[in-house]
Amino acid sequence: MNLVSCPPELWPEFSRLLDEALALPETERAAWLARARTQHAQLAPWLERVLARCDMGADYLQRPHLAASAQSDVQTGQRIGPYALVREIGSGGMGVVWLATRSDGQLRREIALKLPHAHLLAGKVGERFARERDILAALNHPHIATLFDAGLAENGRPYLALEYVDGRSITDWCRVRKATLDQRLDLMRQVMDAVQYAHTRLTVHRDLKPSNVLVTADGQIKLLDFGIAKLLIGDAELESIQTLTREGERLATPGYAALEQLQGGAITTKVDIYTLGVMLYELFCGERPPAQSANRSGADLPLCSARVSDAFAGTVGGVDAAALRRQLRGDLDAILAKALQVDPDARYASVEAFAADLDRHRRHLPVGAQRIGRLTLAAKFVRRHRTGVAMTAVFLAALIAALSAALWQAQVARQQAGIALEQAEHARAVREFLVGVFEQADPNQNKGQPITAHQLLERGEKQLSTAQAGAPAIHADLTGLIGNLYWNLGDFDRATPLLTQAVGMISNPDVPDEIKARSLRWLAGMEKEKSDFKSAKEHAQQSIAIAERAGKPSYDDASEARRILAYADTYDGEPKAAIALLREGLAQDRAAYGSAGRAVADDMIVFGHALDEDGNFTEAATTLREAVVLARAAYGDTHTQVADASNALGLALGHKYDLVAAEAAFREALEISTRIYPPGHAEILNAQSVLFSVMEKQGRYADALAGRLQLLEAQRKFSDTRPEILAQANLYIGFDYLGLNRLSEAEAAIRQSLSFWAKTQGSNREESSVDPMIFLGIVLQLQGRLADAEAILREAIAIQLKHEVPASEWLGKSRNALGSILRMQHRYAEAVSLLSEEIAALRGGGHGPSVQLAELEARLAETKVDIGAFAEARTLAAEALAELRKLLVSGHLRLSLALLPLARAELALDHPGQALPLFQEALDVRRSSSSPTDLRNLEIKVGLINALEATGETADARAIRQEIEPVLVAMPHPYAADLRKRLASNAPQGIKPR
Amino acid sequence: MGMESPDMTELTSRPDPFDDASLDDAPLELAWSAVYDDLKRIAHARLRSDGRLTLIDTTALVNESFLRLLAQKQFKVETRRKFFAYASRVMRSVIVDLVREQLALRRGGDVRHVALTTTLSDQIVEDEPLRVDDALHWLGKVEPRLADVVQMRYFGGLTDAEIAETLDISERTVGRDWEKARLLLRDLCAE
Repeated sequence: MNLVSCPPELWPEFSRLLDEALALPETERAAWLARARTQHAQLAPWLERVLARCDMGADYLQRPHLAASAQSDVQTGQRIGPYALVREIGSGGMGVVWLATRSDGQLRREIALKLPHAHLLAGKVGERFARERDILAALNHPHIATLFDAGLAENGRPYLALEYVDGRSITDWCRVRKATLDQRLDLMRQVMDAVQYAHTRLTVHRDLKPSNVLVTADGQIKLLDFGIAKLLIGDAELESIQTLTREGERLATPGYAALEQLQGGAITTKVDIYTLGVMLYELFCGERPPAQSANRSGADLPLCSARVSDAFAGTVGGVDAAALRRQLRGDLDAILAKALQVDPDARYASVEAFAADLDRHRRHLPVGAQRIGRLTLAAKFVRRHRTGVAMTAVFLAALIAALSAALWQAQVARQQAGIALEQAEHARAVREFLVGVFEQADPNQNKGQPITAHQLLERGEKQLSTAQAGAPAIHADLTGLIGNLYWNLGDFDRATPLLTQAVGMISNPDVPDEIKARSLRWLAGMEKEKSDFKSAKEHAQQSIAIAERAGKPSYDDASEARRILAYADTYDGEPKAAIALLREGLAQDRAAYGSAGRAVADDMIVFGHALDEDGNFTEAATTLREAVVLARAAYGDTHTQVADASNALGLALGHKYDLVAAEAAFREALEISTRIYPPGHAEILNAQSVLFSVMEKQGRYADALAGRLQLLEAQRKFSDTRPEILAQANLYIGFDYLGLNRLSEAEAAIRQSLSFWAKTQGSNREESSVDPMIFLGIVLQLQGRLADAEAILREAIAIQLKHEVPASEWLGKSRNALGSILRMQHRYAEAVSLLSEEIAALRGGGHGPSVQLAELEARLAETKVDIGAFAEARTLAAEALAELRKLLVSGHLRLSLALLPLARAELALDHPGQALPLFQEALDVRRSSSSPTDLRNLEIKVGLINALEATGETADARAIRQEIEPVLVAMPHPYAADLRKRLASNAPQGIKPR
Repeated sequence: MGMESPDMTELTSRPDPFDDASLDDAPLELAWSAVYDDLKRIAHARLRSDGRLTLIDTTALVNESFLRLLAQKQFKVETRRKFFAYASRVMRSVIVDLVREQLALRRGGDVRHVALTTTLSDQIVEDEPLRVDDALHWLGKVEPRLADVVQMRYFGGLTDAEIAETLDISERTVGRDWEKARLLLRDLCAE
């Protein structure tokens, strides 16, 4: 490399002058340079030298030229097998395509010769090339370019000889010919025939786009390039398919590829259906739809009709934009919306169905895109009778017909598939359908806005209550259905009375068992979600009994009710009952549905919950990992059950203190929920909340608090319907404040929590109030209100003893807090006996090592230091610390609980050199609380000062002393007096002569 | 058949609740090291042919790596902007390392340095990425934006429009920067 163009210190001026010169036309530069030589004598030589490089040539640095290209290794006239190359007609990453003639004396014909790049043959490209040959050999269709021959050239290089298509891409052809909408539809129907044909040969094209879809001069479609096509074949070849799929995913053309293809999801025929939708969209309005993103539902797709411009309309048979828009609006918009759904399952089931809808549209029959034919008939009926119809009996009839048909359809589908249809999905199908019906029914009614599902349900509900419509069975089922739909939309206020009402109707003997079992199951499901476990259990048990009586048609309900019951058992303090029930349920469901169905995935999720609740975190995590896999397989990646399973997995991992893995699982769950639910939905809020919990476990209180306060705003809407949500939210907020030593705010938030628990349970002295009570005790303790703190903890322990076995980690937590209060009151003997007993109980109860146990040991060690049993304290604290280091992530805040007594013991035993780093580490792990009045930090700093003084680092000690002494003096806390004493009395010890 | 430039705005427009977390430098570095080996492997596979190097299609590599990252969800990019800058950096390392390896092989393992004087014209060409890399270190100190433009265009294979978006400047400015940078680099790299 040359030396620099000019000295760095002169660079700014040099650079400015260079800009000036470059802005001039080249002809004027010589004159400019001449002036520069006088005005900028110092810089002129460098400027001249650089400007002289202007002759470098346009391609200088255009690409990193590493060596000669290997692309031009064939040339015109060259013979490959029996073919002579004429000219290159295309090239790409994989290879080149040449126009060639067969020249061995047989009939002379032009063919397209496809040659892979030689240097790529060793890898996947060679494989892909061979596959394209095999796939094409099996395809014989008038609209697919024919494979004539495949072979190896003399140099061993493979080639494919394909039908040479002299045509233009479908988009060019339509533009140049100003094809009408009908002609465009005709062409796409040919394309669809070809794709459908390939699908019946188990081949997915995967790379459809205009440049692969040519139209010949006589208007015939020819499909090209099956280079990344995929064969849909059995499990035996699954492995190689997966490899190839990964290749295909890279090679897909993003503007035309479906999201699942770009993201490496399952490749099915739905990929081609999506791409056909994109091409139609482009042919209809001249633009491609925005690329898919996972959070966009088909409903947000910009309507094709809305994107038509005048300029484009002119190329469609010369119509004006308004006319084209009119033609597209309605059926064609709806058909495209269905083909372009993000969720592959929501797209057309087959190209055939897609094509059939286009045909029906052209014959002015109702199309399936607006959902199931029979239902659309009702809607079209309403449209034809629009005047004054909307809110009349005819309208009601249409609604009822629609709902019943949807239910019927869902049931048929369920029976055919032999799987439990997940509620939310069922509801979504119905909801989407209903929205379709109503948009069709009367778009003007709602000022041109699509009617929301909510408005729709309100109307349905109103009609149901005013008109005594239909048979009692349908009435009951519809009431339950609408209630359940409200529930799925997160509207708890409206869901509750309707579901209760639906269950009320089942005493009617005309209501069949199936509907009874379902209504009860819906109600129990909602009660479960609302943590009303007693009612949930009762209704789930009734549902199971009735469903078993009804037999096979109600098996799905029995299976689901069993899970509701198990879940309620789990969180009603009977996880062992749930585990037994689920072992039984799993066996039955495997027999009924096979081992990989949705019901089995659901069972595994609840099973994981139960194991987790039973304290068996390791098995819970293993079970839930399996559940996540099963749920993904059964439901696809974006589904509530996958989110639930990930969430439960996160919980179990969190309980194991595997916080990194837990956070990953929670983020996964949140990501899925965000894709599924509308903003502000309870599930998203819940997923956010658990994620904050992991942050809290990691000591990131400030981050968690900011998030939680924001979350609280969104949660307020549940204050009457689901007060337990706010009770939990406020507890966590109080916990964060506690972590940050903002004690009065912590107290206020925790008391809020208790009052919300009172709202759910009629009293704030029930089991669920125990956690807030423990934290309130800790807050009061830190505030110096030791008697109050003791009272509330004793009360908490009394409640726990009503519900818990005598030796439990939960009790350990409250007894630990109580022990801490006792020692602050100098009631050391009481503290020692309380803590020792708890430790013995936990060890005797067969509990393995746990954070709780180690913390109890640390607390006991601390008390032992207080009473002067230093050696014993050191042993205990060292054990506790070793245990905590094993169980917690490094740098975890809770390590300070053991670090502090160990350091104090070492100091007291005259090992200040060992104590010092322990104090420092304790302070470091507690860095998340930077409050200068945090008693816990002050205590560590007192020790740190003592250790520094003892090791002779008096300057450092003095600095910290000056910082904390005034704080300790000003603090009314009784323990502050102890700390002042410790600071004073240990000071002379530090300078003890040796 | 060939890779068309993916519409990255669309691909990345999905709101990502965890972007904030991925914006920290540490995870980015982590992702960087994760993708580096991968890209290098692909580049190797593409480059080797009869023991010779062939033209690198950098654009395809960058686009490909983007799709891979998207598919693997290893790396959550906030914006295409961030990704382009990042990918260009990766590509620069990949290319420079490949050329070094290749030269080292040819010289029997002696990789003293790259500013070699040689009379073989093809070797001048083959040295070019190393010379540019060296020159960029220097140029980056005095004109960081010019160095960025070169990194993205020459190593990253990005278009002017993409560079303009990444650096938040106009395309015209990118064009001017590029011409000026080429001139300076030509001078810096000249024999």
